[in-house]
Amino acid sequence: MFVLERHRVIRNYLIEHKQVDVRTLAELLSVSEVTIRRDLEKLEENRFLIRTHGGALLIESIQDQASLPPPNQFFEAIDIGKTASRLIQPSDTIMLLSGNHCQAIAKAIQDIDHLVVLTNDIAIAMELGNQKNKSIVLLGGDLSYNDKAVYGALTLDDMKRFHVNKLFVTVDGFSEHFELSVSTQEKALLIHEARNNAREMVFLCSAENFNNHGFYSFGTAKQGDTIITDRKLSDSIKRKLFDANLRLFTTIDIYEGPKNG
Amino acid sequence: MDKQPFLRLDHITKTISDEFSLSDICLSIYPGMVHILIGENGSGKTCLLHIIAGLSQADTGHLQYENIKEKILFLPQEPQVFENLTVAENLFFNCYPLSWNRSIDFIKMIKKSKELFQQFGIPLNPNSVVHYLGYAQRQLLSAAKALISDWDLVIFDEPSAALGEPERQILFSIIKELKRKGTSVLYVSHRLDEIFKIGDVVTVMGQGKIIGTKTVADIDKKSIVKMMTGKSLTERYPRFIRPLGEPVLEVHNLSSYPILKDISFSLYRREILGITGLMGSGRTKLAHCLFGEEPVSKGSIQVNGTEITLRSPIDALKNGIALIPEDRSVNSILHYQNLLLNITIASLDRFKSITGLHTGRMFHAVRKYSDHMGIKTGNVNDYPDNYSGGNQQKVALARWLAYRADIYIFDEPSRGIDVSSKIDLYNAINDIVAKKGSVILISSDIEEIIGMCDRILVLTTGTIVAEIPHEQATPERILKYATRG
Repeated sequence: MFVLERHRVIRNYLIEHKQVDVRTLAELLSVSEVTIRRDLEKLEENRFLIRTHGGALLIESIQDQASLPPPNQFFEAIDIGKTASRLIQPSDTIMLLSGNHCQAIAKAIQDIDHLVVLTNDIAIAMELGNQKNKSIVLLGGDLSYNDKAVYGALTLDDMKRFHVNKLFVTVDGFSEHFELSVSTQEKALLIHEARNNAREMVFLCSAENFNNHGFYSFGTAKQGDTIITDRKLSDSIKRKLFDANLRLFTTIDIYEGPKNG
Repeated sequence: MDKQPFLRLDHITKTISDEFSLSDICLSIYPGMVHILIGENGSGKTCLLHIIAGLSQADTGHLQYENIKEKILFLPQEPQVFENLTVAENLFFNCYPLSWNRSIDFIKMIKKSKELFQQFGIPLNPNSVVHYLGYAQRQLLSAAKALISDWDLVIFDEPSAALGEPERQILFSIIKELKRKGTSVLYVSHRLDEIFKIGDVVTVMGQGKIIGTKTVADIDKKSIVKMMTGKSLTERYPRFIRPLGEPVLEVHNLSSYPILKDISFSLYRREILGITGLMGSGRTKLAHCLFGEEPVSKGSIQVNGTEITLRSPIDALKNGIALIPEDRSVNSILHYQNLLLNITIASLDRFKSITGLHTGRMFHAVRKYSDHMGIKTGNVNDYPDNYSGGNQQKVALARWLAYRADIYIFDEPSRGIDVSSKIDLYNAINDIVAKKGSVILISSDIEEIIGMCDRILVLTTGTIVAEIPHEQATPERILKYATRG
């Protein structure tokens, strides 16, 4: 395992547990304790942690920063993004609407060539702009302060000109009757409109948002729609979705690739 | 049908498991008629036969016989014969001819059975011991039992599944003779052509219900297939499109005694290849041959372009082929061992250290696998014996995922497990193919096969009769090939 990879694991572990001892890390990463000590030294230089006898503590300020997006949700989003990226083939046309899961998709589709991506999110456009093999279309409109994404009448008007194969949407609420909802009105309006311009809908939703209502609903999940969620989804909901003829992907990411080839 | 029914089933229901039950079965069987019961695998045919034959009891509803002293002969799918007795002794087992001093008259018995065999052209020798007979011959022997004494009803449970054409003709002539004698016949079949050859009445079953009963005279093949398939939901399976790679497994002219003949196919990297077929078509046998569990009598198997010989499962594993077998509680789970060992047993060399096994890493790996696969409760000290079917299947899969094989063969992975485990299983299969693995999915669930697979091979009596790409696959088409219609 490389140094950077080790650092990433240690950082994630610290964000989650606030403290760590050397032996646990050595076991977790299957390297010697000396190596771990050296890594911790490096991270201390970067003012990420304070070393203690036999272990390390997370620096409080970092802890505050990290708690802004809860770490669990952060990893979930990455997993969901990875799973969603499997649905995207080279030379597809896709639309990514603003949301943490779609940002994760933008990171995960680095290796897929000749994609045409339509988005209303500036962060996604920036991320994809660094990738040479894609063409990005950024919609225009009123910039929202919270989301750093564009919404409004201008955006709706702009979008009418495009048609995409797959539309990826982060959903904040998924009710018992498959009603979908998000937290802001402008977003709901945008998704409602975008639905007409896409051949296939893919809804991204954290498991904890199932059986939850967001404030603004924008329609229901229909037969043939795809839902991607993390693997913590309860069994009863899985069964319900299957019975309702909805395609459900979960973030099982465990196979380590074939040994021989 | 003006005759009085010989046997009437009145609103029979029986719950077999949470997933499956017989519901509201109404059926009438008339004397001197051949009643054919047809339906997909797992539609509850055998279960219904068991209720009629009295092997199990219905929860509600009742069976009404015309008179109480009916003689019913039930011939199960696996011929039930006494291996250490001769053919003639088996044939007359319940009604030995007796001589003047009440001892068994062997000479008469052999003479009578010789006559019988000659009349129907059954290629059996009354004096040979059953132990040395093949499967088809045993099947014929048990069918011939129906002719010995006068039965009122003879129940055949898929007798023709493993028979060749000449044996099938003999079987039909036996059934025709029974019909002539006025015996009712209840015949379970998978093959559509048999309905028209011998049947008078046909009942289609599906998912524990009777879909319809028709007389054979006013029905055609197409409408039966339509009744069998019903509405299909193949959209809900989490399949995604991926570019296929080079061939990883090539099978040429593989034959294996007694069923498999001339099987050729190739499996590509990142592909999910579906193999389907009816009971007795050799699906499981093929899986076992590819895993080195059963000997291959002819043909070659190539993995990644090099030819390999599979003498045992160890050879298969060395070449990166893993099998998740059909009967998980018997063949996969290590009984009286905890979850830790059940998951790591196939990949212990990943956890070795200088002093032995690195338990810390094993614990960590098992927690990771049970988290991702959703194994409940997932405690390393659990005993998987106590787990539900779905969780046991996940344990079996996790074990082989840890082994990191190239080719995964799933034999009926979703039979008898709950829906949520099924979804986890499909997503795990997706994970394999997304990361350059390949999957062979053997299943009798046609929806599942169409929903998940990129290509579907249909197996009928040991040969591949059709190869259907995902886009062209419909339940009707697969059933048509599988039933040789």
